[in-house]
This record gives sequence, C-alpha cells and structure tokens, in this order.
Amino acid sequence: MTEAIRQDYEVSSEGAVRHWSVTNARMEDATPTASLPAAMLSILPGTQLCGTLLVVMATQSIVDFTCSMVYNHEVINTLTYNGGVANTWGAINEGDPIYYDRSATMPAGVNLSTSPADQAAGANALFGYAVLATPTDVYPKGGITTSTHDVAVMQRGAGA
Amino acid sequence: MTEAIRQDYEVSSVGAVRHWLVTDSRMEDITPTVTQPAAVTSLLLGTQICGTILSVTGTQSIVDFTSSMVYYQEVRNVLTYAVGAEATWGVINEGDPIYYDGSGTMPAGVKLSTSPLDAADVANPLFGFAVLHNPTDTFPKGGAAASTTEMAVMQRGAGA
Repeated sequence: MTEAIRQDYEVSSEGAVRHWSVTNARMEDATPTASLPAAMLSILPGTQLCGTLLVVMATQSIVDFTCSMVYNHEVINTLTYNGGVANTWGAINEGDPIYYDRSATMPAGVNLSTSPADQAAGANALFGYAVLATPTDVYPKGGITTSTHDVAVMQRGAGA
Repeated sequence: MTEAIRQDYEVSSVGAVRHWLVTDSRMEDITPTVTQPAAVTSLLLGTQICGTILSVTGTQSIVDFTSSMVYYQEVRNVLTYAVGAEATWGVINEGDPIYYDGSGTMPAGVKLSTSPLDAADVANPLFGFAVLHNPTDTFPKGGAAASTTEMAVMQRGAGA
C-alpha cells in the first residue's frame, strides 16, 4: 500500500463525547453492569481502553469513552499486592491515579483501585484521577487499612 | 457489595470540555496563578494530572483539564539536569513533548520544560505537546543555550 490520502478515514462523527458499542465478550467483565467502570480486553495488559458503562444489552453494551468525563465510582485503597493478596493500603488523595484492577481479591462490584499492578503483578490500566465531586467534597479518603470509597473519578477514556 | 446499577454515578455534565475545581493545597504550586499551567500532586510521581488554571479563589481553583486544548505557555528549553543544575539545552520543535517541571532552578513563573526528569532526577509529568500557534508560527524555537520561549502547547489534560 502506498502512503496516500485516504478517502474513508473518518469513522466517528466530530465531537469529543464518545458513546460506543462494545462486545460484552471483549470486556474484562463479560457480564457488565450499567454505571460501573469498564475495560476492554487488550493484547497488552495495562493498555486496556477504559470507560463507564451506560447501557447493557444482550451481547453488546454502550460505554462512555469520553476523556475527562467525571463519574462517581467505588475505589478500594489497595496500593500493592504480595503473594496474590492485597498487602498495603493508603489514603486516596485528590489527584491520585485510579486504576482498573482485575484482581480476584477485589470486593464484589468494585473494579477500581489505587494499585498500578494487580495481584498477579500484571499492569493495571490507568482509569482516571480522583477529583472533587463537589466544592464540599473532602480528601483524603481512607487510610492505611483496607477500605472502599465512593470517589469522583475524572476518566481518561480514549485519551490514552 | 453486589454488582448493581448505581443511581448517582454521573458527576460532570456531558461534553469533553472539562473545567474542574481543585484544592489549592493539592497542587504542585499551592499559590496558583490564573493562566499558568497546573499539576495536581499524586501519590506516584510523573503521573500528575495537568491542566491550565482558569480561576483562582480562596482555597480552590478552577482548572481546564480539557484534553487537546491549546494554550500559550512559557517553556524552558532545558533537556537534562546534573547535580541539581541545568546541564543541557536544545531547540524546541513542533511536536516535542512538554513537561510540567517543578525544579527549583526554573525561572520565576515558568512551569514547563522539555526535560522528562526534574533537577532531583524525578519523573516530570507530560503536560502536552508543542504545536503551531497559527499557520505562520515557526519552529524550532531556542537553541543549545538556555532560553525560555512562549509557545502554543496542546495539553494532555485528563487524557494521560
């Protein structure tokens, strides 16, 4: 193929809001739930495309991949794993990176943590950043023992 | 916790322009100035979310975290540090990555450089990329000696 101008390169419409259909079987959680975080499977762990589930259908779901969209999500304060189990925990501060964590040790219904690596030492995908939900929101959340918190997360979306 | 649909998960409005409140004490520069670059402190150095300050209030500021927004910023052409001091400098070309650099050696009022590491050899977060300001803008800017140049920077925002 020569390096030529393509006539059919634009797939999506203009605009940075991006709601897109995803095959359920190609998601880290193949039985997705609307309003929860989503991550697509990837050939390279740590590079998964992440977003927030808007609509779940039989075999496909609609995910919001908008970069910088803010949603409330449950986040566990795990920092590291050791021997396949959560090992250290810490306070979640405004601005901290939040990861999509596939570890089996995560509480049911919780897909996000503050650990850049999962329980198998595989890279977790960066989901977004902890931000203020409202001007009266308070940080830090949690401490040096395990806990799960409702956190406003500014998602990275397709802006990877 | 069961995997259930949340009733209160949407925090921001739809739209990819994202102006968001940040606690001043959680910023790298806790005395922020409107129009200057901002970085929110993070538990993992080099992962700070960055943006441009739009409004400064008493204890919180409004930062534009919009991915791909272009602002004029002052950029230092330092490439490397040695023993805590600037060591090498270079031209800044269109497309070069621009980092938020908190080094104490930076000129007053300048937060951005072309160095991926700061004066203490710690990772600087990627702020954005040098781009044309208009069709008549010219690159490269600067040279092998230290200089600070105003240029258009397409910020990464929440698209880290």
